[in-house]
Amino acid sequence: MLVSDCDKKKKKNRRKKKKRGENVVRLSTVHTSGFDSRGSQRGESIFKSAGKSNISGDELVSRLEDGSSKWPKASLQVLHRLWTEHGASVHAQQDVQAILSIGQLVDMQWKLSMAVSSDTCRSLNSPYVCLLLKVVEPSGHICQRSFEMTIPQFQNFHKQFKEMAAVMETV
Amino acid sequence: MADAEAAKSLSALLHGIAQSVFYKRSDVTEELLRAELFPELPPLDFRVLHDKMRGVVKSVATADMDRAQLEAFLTAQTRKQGGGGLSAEQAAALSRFWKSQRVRVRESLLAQSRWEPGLRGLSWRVDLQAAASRGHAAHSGPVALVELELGRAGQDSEFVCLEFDEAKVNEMLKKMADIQESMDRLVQHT
Repeated sequence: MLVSDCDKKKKKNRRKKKKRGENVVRLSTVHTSGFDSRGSQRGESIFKSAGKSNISGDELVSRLEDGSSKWPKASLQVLHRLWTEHGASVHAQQDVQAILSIGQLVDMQWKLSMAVSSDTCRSLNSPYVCLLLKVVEPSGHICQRSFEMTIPQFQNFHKQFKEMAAVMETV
Repeated sequence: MADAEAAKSLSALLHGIAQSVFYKRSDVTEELLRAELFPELPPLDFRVLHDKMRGVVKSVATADMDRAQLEAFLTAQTRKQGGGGLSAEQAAALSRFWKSQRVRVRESLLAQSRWEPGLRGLSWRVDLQAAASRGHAAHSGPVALVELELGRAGQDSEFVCLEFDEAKVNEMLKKMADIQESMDRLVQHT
């Protein structure tokens, strides 16, 4: 029996983020409770985007100050220290989580088309298959991805799924 | 001797034009071609030659000429009066060029006309869930993990990772059988 490697990695990262990211998040909740709802929303999104863009402690502090003038100086100093120490790992977790995000297919639509002509080639005469996938990500967010395949590519795609089904039957 | 050299330079010019126009090599510039292949030709004269060759190559590629069409076209071009026509050597070089590059040029034109991301790669594996903290009965059984590598021409790949249970895989197979059926019908009608 196989245990999914992906799942193992996901659990490990969640534990890590809890330990380090949590300190930063807890501190921000204490201080945003006195703000208006807009302020606290801005605060949370500042941290999320700070991780994603891998900014420095100085930059984080200046972004928070821009977001609201109510941040006590002492809190900003603590945040600066925490971010300088742990900001990089928050960024890394977000990166890994993006790569390991495994979605579920909700719907698949297809079309078979023939490219007839274009401005650079008058007679393309090229059939192709286009798939539109509706995918629900672990976050619950639904996104659409579409892509094209040539006929040979599609036939290989089909063959791969047949093999998958055969393996799943025997497992 | 001089003829062989001239023919070589001409062939190389046509290949260079293909690199720039079809294979999207932005480093192959007009100036580079002149310096490498026709250094003794004055820049203005080279421009005339370059533009004429490029125009002919583009016409041939756009129409995706077969052998007969190409011969007819080139013959007509050599018969043109004034400076706009082709010399016999140029026609010969163009004929050789198209014979060897037609398929590749066509492939790149096709690729340029594809604006959706293409499927660059597909890998998959099947897992059997050994245990789960919340005991999802629905998730027992094999799960297929599929990684699709998608990308547009000249851009980095994006990876889409999906999981399928057996039912979902069978749904996919049914849809793909429908696609195959459509393709078969299309072939029958053409």
